[in-house]
Amino acid sequence: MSSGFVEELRARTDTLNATSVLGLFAERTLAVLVFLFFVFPIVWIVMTSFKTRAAALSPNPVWLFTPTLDAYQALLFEKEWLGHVINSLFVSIANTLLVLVISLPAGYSMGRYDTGGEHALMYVLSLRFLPPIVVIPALFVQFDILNLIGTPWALILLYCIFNIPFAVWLFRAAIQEIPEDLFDAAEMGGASEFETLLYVAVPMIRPVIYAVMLISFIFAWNEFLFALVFTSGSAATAPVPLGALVTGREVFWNQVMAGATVLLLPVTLLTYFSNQYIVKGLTFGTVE
Amino acid sequence: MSTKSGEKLLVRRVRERVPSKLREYLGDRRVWVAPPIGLLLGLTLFPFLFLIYLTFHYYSLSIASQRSWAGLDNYTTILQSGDFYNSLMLTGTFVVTAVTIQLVLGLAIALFLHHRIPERWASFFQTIFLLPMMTAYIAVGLLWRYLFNGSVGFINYLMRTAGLPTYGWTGDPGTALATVIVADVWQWTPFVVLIVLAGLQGLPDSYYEVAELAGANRWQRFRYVTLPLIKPMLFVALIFRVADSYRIFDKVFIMTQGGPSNSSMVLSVYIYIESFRNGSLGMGATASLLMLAIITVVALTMIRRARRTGVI
Repeated sequence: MSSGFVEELRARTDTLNATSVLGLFAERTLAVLVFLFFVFPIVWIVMTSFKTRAAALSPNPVWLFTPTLDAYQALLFEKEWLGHVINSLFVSIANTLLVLVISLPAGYSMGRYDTGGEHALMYVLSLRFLPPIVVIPALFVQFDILNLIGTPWALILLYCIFNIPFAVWLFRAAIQEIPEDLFDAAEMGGASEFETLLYVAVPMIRPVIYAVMLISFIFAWNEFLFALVFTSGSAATAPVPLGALVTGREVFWNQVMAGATVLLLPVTLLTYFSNQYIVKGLTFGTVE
Repeated sequence: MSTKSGEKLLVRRVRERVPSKLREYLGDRRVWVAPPIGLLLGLTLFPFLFLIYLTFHYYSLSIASQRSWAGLDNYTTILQSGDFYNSLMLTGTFVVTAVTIQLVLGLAIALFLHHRIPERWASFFQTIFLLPMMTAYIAVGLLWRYLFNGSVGFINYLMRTAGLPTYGWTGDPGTALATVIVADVWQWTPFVVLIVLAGLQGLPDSYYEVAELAGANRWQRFRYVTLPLIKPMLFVALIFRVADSYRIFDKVFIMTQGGPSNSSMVLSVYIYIESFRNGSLGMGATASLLMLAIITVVALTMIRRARRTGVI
């Protein structure tokens, strides 16, 4: 980056064009500021989580300090947030597996045989545009009757509203890209439909499977509104008690940011190892 | 290797244990569509019908005896009070402002990264830009509530350092919604950047060479070559950003709770508070149905357009 800058600066100085040189500096300064705007907040979350409460409450930011794990200790163990993190892990993993198991055959069927046609397709797509809050009042009564309120099962089912549509959509699109010859060959060899799915389709669309699992997990892990309404007490998933931490008069910002860091941790790891799948998944496969 | 033998074992197990009639049935590809579609219908169709039922009832969440036929009372109450319109306006303001900033800023950043940053840095920036959008909404809300905090927040520190007046930000009716917009811009501009960047990387250099030969300057190259070619990408970004913006809940709930004095009471938060704080599910449902009606129009327009132009 810097060598390019020097070259360009030299090129512009050679033409003795003052506005052009100033323009270059302005552009670069702006670029650095924009970069800081996006990066600094993440750094600030992690930094604050290693501070004492007093340091986190200082009106002038404390840049140099001895890192301490006090906030993590207090949040995870004294406030027993660890249990909620485990709830979150359970809900996220269970939902991801459920979504995968029921969406993969459906996506295969829709992709290869156009099962359900345009109607099924549009119905699934339209759910991506449904604001969750509009179904919540009615779902609350429905789940109350089924005695599911306050259990992890409620969330595992509810997150399907958002995770199944994009999973089915992506699987369908991926299956459509597989040459029909491959399927035909498998069937000539006597493979059943299920075997064709498992041995022909699955190996071909493995990256899409990873993408679906990744995004399903991250969605469930991050979700707040359904968790707030449908779970409470010890059954609550991690975001709920974390949100409640700022309602009191005395806010422990270092603990709040420790919680945010913990929420960021698995997501960062997953993102780091598979960032090419995420954009594709989030846009229903419209972006390669 | 091990997964392959695992899969084989699975198939054998299924074969041994499931009776042949049932197996035939389960092996039918038409049946495969039933579980997800059935589950989705159960989670959306029934609630939708029940939602309509709720709108005609007084329905107290906690007290079963306070549930009775309300006729059109919920509708008249909502349509006559200013609260619903206020929320509708705020949601509209939020969607238009946040999405516009995200598209313009996202496009600018993507162009800068594409033209000014060497290829080898690209994946580094890609990872950096993925982080805000993968951060839990609640963590984003908490982060910006802390940054915008009136007494200990970093933003007021910057304002003091620059010799500017400090504000209460999230606690000030004039700035509360703006703080949520900033948080949303922080989280989702990267989404636009990544989509546009993907589009730019797919453009052949030859287009630019031709444009250059034709004597097009930088602006003309952008206006007549780049922009038309990445228009589908911008449209995709627009659709998904609008769909996510009108449902905004978490950030508002964490940062301002819809306050102060309803100045950031977007629709989702309004419905939540009516339903679960005030315990009036009938009112919440009615507001939900009205919101759904408006959004159906917006969403269908976008989906139709997207299907027609073939971007989805």
